[in-house]
Amino acid sequence: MISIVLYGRNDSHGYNLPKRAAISFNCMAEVLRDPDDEILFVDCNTSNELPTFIEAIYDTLTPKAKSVLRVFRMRPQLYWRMVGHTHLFATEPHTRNVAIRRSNPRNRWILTTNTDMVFVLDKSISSLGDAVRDLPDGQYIAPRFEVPEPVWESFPRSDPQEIIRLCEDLGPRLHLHEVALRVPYMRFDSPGDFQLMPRQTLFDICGFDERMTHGWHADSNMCKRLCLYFGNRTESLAHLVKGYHCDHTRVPTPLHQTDIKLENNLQQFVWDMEEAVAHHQKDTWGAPNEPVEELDFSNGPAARYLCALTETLGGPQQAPYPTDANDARNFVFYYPEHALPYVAAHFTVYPPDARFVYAGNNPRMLELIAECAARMQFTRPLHYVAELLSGGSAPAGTLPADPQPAGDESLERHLAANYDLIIFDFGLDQTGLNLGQVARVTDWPRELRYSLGAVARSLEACSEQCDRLQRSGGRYADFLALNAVHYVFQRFIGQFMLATETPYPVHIRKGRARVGEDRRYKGSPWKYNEDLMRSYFAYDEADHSLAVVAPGHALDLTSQGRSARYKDGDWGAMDYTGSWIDGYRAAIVFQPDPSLTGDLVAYLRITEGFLNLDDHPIHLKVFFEGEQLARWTIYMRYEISRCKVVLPLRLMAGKTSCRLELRPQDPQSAQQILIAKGQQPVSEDPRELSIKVQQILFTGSDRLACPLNQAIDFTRQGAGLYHLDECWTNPDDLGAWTLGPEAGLDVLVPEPIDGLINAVFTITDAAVSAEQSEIGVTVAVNGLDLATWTIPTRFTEQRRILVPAHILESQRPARFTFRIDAPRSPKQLGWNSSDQRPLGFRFTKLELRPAGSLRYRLGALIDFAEGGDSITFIGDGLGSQWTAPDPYGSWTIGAESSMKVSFETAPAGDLPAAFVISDCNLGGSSPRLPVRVKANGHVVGDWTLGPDREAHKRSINIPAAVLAGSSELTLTFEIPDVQPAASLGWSDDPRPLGIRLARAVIGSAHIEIPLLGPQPPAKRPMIRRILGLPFFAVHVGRIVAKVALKKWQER
Amino acid sequence: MSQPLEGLRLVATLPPHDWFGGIDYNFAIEMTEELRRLGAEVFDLHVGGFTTQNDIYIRSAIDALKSFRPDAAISLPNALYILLCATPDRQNIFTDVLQIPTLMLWDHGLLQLPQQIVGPLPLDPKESTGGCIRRIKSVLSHPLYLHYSPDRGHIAALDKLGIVDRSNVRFFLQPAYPNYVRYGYRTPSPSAFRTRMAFAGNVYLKATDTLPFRQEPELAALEARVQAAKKARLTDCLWDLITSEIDALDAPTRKRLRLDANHSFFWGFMHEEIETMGNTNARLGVLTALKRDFDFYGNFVEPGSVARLRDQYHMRFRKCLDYFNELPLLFMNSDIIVDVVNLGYNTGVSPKIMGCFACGGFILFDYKEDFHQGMGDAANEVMYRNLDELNAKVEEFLGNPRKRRDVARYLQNRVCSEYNFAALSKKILVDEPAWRR
Repeated sequence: MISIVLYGRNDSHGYNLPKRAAISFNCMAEVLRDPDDEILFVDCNTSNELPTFIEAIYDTLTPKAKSVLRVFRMRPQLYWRMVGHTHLFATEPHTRNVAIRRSNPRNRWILTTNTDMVFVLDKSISSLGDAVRDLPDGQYIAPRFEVPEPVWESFPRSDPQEIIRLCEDLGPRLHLHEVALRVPYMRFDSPGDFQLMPRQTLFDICGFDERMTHGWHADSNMCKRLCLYFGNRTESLAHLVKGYHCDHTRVPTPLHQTDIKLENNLQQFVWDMEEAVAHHQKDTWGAPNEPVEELDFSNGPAARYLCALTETLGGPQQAPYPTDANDARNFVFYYPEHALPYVAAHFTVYPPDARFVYAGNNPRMLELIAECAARMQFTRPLHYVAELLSGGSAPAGTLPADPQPAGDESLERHLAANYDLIIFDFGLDQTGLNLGQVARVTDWPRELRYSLGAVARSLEACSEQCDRLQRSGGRYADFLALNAVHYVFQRFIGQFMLATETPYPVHIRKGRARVGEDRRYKGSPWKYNEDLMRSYFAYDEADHSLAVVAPGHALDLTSQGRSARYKDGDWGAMDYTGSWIDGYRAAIVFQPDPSLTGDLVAYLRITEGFLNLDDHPIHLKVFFEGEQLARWTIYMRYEISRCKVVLPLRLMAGKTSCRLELRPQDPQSAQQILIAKGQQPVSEDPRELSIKVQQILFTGSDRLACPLNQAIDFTRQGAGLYHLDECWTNPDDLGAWTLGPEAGLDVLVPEPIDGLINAVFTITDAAVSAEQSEIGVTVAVNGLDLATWTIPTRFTEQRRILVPAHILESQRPARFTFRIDAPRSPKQLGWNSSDQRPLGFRFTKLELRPAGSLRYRLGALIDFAEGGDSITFIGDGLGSQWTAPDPYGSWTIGAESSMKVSFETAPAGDLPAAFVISDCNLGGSSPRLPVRVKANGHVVGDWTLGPDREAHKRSINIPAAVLAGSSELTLTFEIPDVQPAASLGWSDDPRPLGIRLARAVIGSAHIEIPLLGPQPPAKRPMIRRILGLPFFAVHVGRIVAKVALKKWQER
Repeated sequence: MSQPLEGLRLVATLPPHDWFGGIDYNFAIEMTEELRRLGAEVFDLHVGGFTTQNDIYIRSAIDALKSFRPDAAISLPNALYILLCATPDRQNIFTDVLQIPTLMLWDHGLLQLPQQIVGPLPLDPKESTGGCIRRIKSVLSHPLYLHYSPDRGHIAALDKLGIVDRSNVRFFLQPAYPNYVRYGYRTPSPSAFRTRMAFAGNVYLKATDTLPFRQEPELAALEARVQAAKKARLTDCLWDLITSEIDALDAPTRKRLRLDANHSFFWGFMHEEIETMGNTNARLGVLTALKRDFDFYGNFVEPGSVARLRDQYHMRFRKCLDYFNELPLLFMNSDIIVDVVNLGYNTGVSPKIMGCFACGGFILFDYKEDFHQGMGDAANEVMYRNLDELNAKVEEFLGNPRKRRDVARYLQNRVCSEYNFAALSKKILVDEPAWRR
């Protein structure tokens, strides 16, 4: 019989709208009896994120109201398309027309009214149908009575009969019945609150005038037109119906603000209106061809929400899910089953034919969403972005988003333009990974982690496409981000998405892309976060394939570079200074160039060391292909350290993937350090830091080449730093200092070596002072001690050692190590007040020279002291039978020590030999030391040394028969009763030492006892000093001129 | 429609994003965006890689710059960052490697540039090094540098010291940064940081207490005399007050204390006396003399001193504000902002002043000649010369909101149309293109 037409919006129009409207809906339903009667509500322009107004108050409606209610949703995009320019969020003509067009054609009457009206019928009738059944066609208006706010506010909204009774009762009791008249074609004031007309008539006159977009007077316009249509008559229904209006002007609505009220032109639309039919909108009124959604309260997505969820989830939760709202360790994980209800909740506001697409790499979540969406009766299957889904296969019933959009359209453009909602998932599925306790996000497999970078790139690209679509006036998809409610993902999506700040346990953010003025520039907060996104998720790099590494390949691990494809394991945050190692295993993975023919050398430049509060150095073990190759020690916190490791060809040959792994031995907890400094962390800081690497340079081992007779320069300008290990300071203009108790350098002698090599070291400073004199240095090559130096002054000096040929093989680098007895810091030495670095000596130059002939000429002196040539004769016995030469000679080690002499020509006859013994190992219970000397196995002397330990001479005679024409002689010193030096209290040297030989001569019984130990500088002859005077004068003149020039400039 | 900078290829510096709380970085980002909006092609050169001498980055940056073929370089947000862009062998990227005209937009260059060139600056005369004038001069006098200063006082001071000839530095009135101009076109939430009167800035109580050179009695006495003079003559610039006190010392004392521009200690002393001591004392002096209650915002440099501000100075401290998103709201929603312009400026104003006007705020600050010359008599409405005048202006403008709005709108219009970064860019790159010569 009758269709009641209402409109509204899920907002806060007036105040207490839900109650007012519930009263109205329930009471209107109460006066409808005919089976065809209906209440049509057009939900106009409710934000897409929200349910319709009716859904919002559905629980407060009576069963009767629910049974007669039909709801049409006019979404914002349709509203703005239909209405065009208006300041209103809902307009009366358009919405009413939409409802009229879709009203039940069996109903003869349309009643247009509002959601704040209560109708009270005359006692002679029981329903509105009774009132209108026998009426002739015409326009009927009823007067309305104002119900004060406190009155309707006290009404029980779910009891319409009681409300109607109260109106009936209170109307007269409170003197509310005032009938306000208007002009004849309107009859009463506010005719729009009860305006009854035949449905057919409305179709005949083409509905409400949709040009009226500024509010007010749509009812007056309709009154005037219907009055014209019905022969200048407008009827009253006051005798049958009383309309009670729940007044709501405690606060002004946009329509009721008196000082800035906008309204439709009365002159145009009412006073001058002479035409009943709105011909101008003959074919368009009420949007006849628009598919306006009609809500299905019994089987629509919202209605099926709970049921679909419970069916999808399968069974109840067994125990609470433990999570951490500040989680910075395992923040790529969430419980999919827990997140699903919140995801699906957002689906309820979409129409059943909505298009959803999933952009993520969490197969479990995809499966749940797909099933739930299907159970909610969405008619289109869930799509997914196949490129992003690498962690598993898509479930049945889902379809890939078109991977090859038409024309030049990018995938992101396709997603933004063709879907209603894009679900970006920043979580990962840990099914089957067996991760155990996740200490840091890098415990997740790299490719899974990096897949989230791809999701992030996708979100950013979609956001840009949305901006373009918006600029061209197009529609674009909503965004829903999963697992982006805290930490880096939250900050990331905030750059590109406008979304409400949801609580952590919800795990989702729903919103839209930032477009137009809402777009953000990429300032400092973005840069911080971008670096983290790049560090953990390769946000900026799509290609993760292994890079081919050959000599010359350089890798920038700062945020200026692209290093994600090389990184695996515990690489932490990265910024413009480098990448932290955060954890216990950080690896560089690469493919060695198949054409490699030699070793590679990897040089690491370290910009920061996370030393503990005591500045203890950081130790790292270096593994390549599972084999430990080096152990590094990092001493410096903020200065550059350089580390290197030689990667042997044998470990790379034939491989397509190699792994260089750095394993810090004692990473420091950032949180503990902070607390130890007396500061309080804001939340848990799980970082365990060791070093920050800026770059890695791969070279061939030729970079370590040290050709004979060519000096290597260890100053800033030289190439020496390529040879140094990490235990050196940065080279300055004078060289590099050793750092810590042991520093090393590697050299590769490129040409084959014949004979011994004389290694000449230029030292330009040492960590000594007047109070802390001398610094002891033991020099070894490939682990073999060759010399022990005592550096007494800070003057420049050269030191030499002879290196046996077999140590310096060509093809393989040899390592010189310098063990510093007692490194000292500049602060200890009083050089400055802050420098705590443990220094030894400053090294400026190294040159390797051939040592010349190895054949012995009879009568030549063999020097066993430091810088001497004893290594020629000791050979392999150095280190095992003889100690490294020191300024006083070389000690025998153990019970038997030999030296081998090859003569230039075989000697004839008996052969005398003499020795200078600078010390012997006496003491304790052994005041005397027996020594047996053998030549080629024959005893040629028995000495007894002691109790005096002064340097002295000894000699032997070697009978001709012992040599028997041979040109080789082996002299052996047998000392059966040797004691460890340490046991005698001399030093902590545990080796059993015998005698210390300073020099020897064969073929002569005469030998001089030299001045042993460090020598004072030689005096220059007077004549040379006189000849040098002019040069000295020039030198002084230069200095004076330089000082004067400087003073002049400074003046 | 063609854009004013269309066809120009510029390389702009971007500071490390973690320096100075990211403020310089954000400014530089906004400025480069503005240059792009004006039609220029801009190469963003990140300075961070140079500060750690990342040779891989430096090499690739040079290659990329060479292929970009910039017409000129522009220092963003200020000239300091140009000086940092050097190769490991100390070749400046712009003047030595690319050899292109380089626009040096100074901030408070008088203190900032020497600090960068001869720093780190000692705070003990005994650690001073000489030759500063020669070093500063040799860097700044490169013929490819085009200097622009927002402070005529700085130009004069550097000219007097023989460091930079005044004819080689062009003046510009400090512009408002783009963000503040943009806020001027927005409608803020009216309740956000709504105040009747507020101050937004920093004082350095802790740093002031621990200045090491105060242990030297003559320096401490000099400082006391200078601060007293500043208190008595609020509008005199601190640089001049200090230098005249130094000139009054006898030569041996000056020499012993290294109070000579040729010594690095001089620059360290001036920097601390002006930036730390000067700003703290002058601001506290003005703020404590205000007769009306006000809200104190900021102090992000020394958050630990907030309690002292409350307890000792009885200030109503509110909070530290984000420079980009929150400070404009304070400016827009406050009836009056009171300020003492950063004492690093001799005659010019800081970006804060211009930013406040740009977004529609109203700010009262100590007299600055450059602002007066640029804005004309309207400038007198917002500048005070003494505390009585300040208090009188506060009363007048609080009591007359229409006049306050008129003045603010006039100055906002001037700033947004004439003295913003876009206008400055157009002026120095197109209208008066000294870099093309």
